[in-house]
This record gives sequence, C-alpha cells and structure tokens, in this order.
Amino acid sequence: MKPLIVTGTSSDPYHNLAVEETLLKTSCGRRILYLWQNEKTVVIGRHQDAKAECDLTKMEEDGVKLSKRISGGGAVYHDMGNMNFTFIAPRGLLSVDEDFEIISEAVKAFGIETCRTGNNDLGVASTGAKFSGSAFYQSGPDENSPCFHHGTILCSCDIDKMVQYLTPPSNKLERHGVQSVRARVTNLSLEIRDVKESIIKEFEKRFGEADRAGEEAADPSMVETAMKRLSSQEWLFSI
Amino acid sequence: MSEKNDRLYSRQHEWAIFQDDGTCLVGISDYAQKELGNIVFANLPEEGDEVTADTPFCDVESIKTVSDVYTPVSGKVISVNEEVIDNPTLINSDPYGSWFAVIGDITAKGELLSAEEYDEYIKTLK
Repeated sequence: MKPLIVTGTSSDPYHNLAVEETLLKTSCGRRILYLWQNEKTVVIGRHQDAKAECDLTKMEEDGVKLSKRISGGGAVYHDMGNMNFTFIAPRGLLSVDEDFEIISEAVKAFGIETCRTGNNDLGVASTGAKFSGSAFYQSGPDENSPCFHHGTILCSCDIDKMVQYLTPPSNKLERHGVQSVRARVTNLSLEIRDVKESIIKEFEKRFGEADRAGEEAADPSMVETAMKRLSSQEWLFSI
Repeated sequence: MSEKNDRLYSRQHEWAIFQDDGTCLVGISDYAQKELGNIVFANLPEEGDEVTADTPFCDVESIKTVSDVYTPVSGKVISVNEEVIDNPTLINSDPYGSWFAVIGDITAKGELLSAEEYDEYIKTLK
C-alpha cells in the first residue's frame, strides 16, 4: 500500500486534532504524513494542568484558544507562522530518528543545518535554538498498534506572544501533572509552503510515491465525535 | 525468564492476577515498562468505571510517549493504586508489584498467556 499524505486546510485546533486522531484510528497499517496548521492556540500535553501552564486570561483577551492533545510532553504555542507535522505508522514501523532525518533534510534544502536538542527537539545547529518540538502517542505497546509522532516547526511564529501566553500568572496553585520544560526557541524564517513542499519531497524520497488527500480523507463522523470530546471543558481542564 | 508464574499475561503486555475473591489485579509487564522508558505520569481509571476486555482503560506517559493500557478483563474497577499515581516511577522499578487497578464483577476475559507462553511471545518481538 502506498503511503498517504494529507494536507489540511482548516486552522481550527479541535478539528485538526480530531482529524489526526481519526487518521490514526483508521490507518490500518498504512504510513501517513499529515501536515496542518492552527490559528492562535496554546496546545498542552495530555497530562498537563492548563491553569499551571498558561495565562488563560491573557489568551482570552487576545482570542487565543486552548487545546489539549492526546500525546505527552509540555505546552506549546501555535499560530499561522508555525507548521505541524504528524507521522502515523504501526509502532513497529515508526522510527523517530527517521522522522527527524526527514525534517532535517527538508530544512537543509534551504541551507539550514539542524541538531537534536532536549528530549525530542530539533534546533538550528549554529545556535542550538529550538525550532521544532515533538510529542508521541501510541494506542498500545504492541508492534501493530498505530502510533504517531507529531511536532511543530516554527517558521515565522510570534515568539513574543508565545512567551506571554506560556507564562502562567504567578500564583500559589499546587502544580499537578506533567510540567513543561522551557527552551530557547527560534523561527526558521522560511515560508510555510516551501517547508511543506520540502518535507513532502523528503518523505516520498524515503517511503516512495504517496497518494495525496485533503483532510476529508478522515472519516467525517469520527472527526465530529472526536472534535466534541477534544473541545469539551472536561477534556481541557482534567489532568 | 523474568516473568512471574503467579499471573497471566496479555499480548498487549498487561499482567493479571485472579484472586480468590473473584477479583483481578492488573498491571503492566516488565517488557512494557522497558519499552516505555521512564514513566512520568499514570492516568489510572476511576473507581466504578465499567471496563471491557482488550480495550484501553487507562494510559501512562513516559519521557518517550503516551501509551494506552488495555484491560485483560471486562468488569468494574473496584479500586486503583494511589501509590502508583503519586509515584509513577514505581512502575519502572517494580512492574510486577505495581498493580494499577483491582477489577471485580468480571464478566469476560481476553486471551491470556502463561508466563512461559508470554516469554516465548516477547522473544518473537524485536
């Protein structure tokens, strides 16, 4: 079976996370690359406490959404200057190193050398500053369990705003759940569409020619059900 | 063989101890904790949850990934291990002592392997 590349057009974080989850659940062993973008959104990790990770008041004033992904790790900020990638494959086939090589090669095409930083991040080699953070989800520990590796690529994101939203108001809240790790970040200062094309090229170079689809490739009724759950207060504010 | 003979195992790498009172203790295997790496959070089920054999009933987060954990039996969650919630690294240091939940009112079981069969099974995995 040929791999599948899905390019999203929606910028709604709840819809996009629902598409991602649906593609994973219906992947049936197929390798999928999903490329997508969110409008202004703070995305927290599955076991994080929103109140301890971001400034919800400031976000509301500026029309920034809060969403929570099903993967682990810390809080990140997305806007339309950021691009997200999701590599979906059965656990036995997904290689994080291989995914990182695809991203690194795609960026290298523009003359930017990269390096691995932190736990699961990519940085610009010359400065070490992070431009890409990753997180992971597996539907089970079995070799055949579908899993994904997803991450961000900062191209022209508003980093000043990012810092504001990801700084919780100083408080005496008891911290719960998994805490974020701070990192120095940088934009690649590249056009999103160029990076997208470059990633697709590197993906196909490695895994062969892929079928192309829009986000409608994800079963609409499953997307709707997932979207309801992912945008519910219960999901967003439970740990 | 590191697996214990006092319990049964699923191919999803959970273990199950059927107790005399008809309940079942559930945790994850040594293989599973090694594959996950350092566990930073255990999102255990709630008491009273109805669970269905071979479907996810809770999840754990390690430095590598979030992973769903499957229940080997259908029934009702009678209690959860608060110690594991407070100190999830116990799952790494003592996977066979760190039970996740006690499940009662058991109505069905998934396919379970003996320690020896499970040991053979994990040898077939890379």
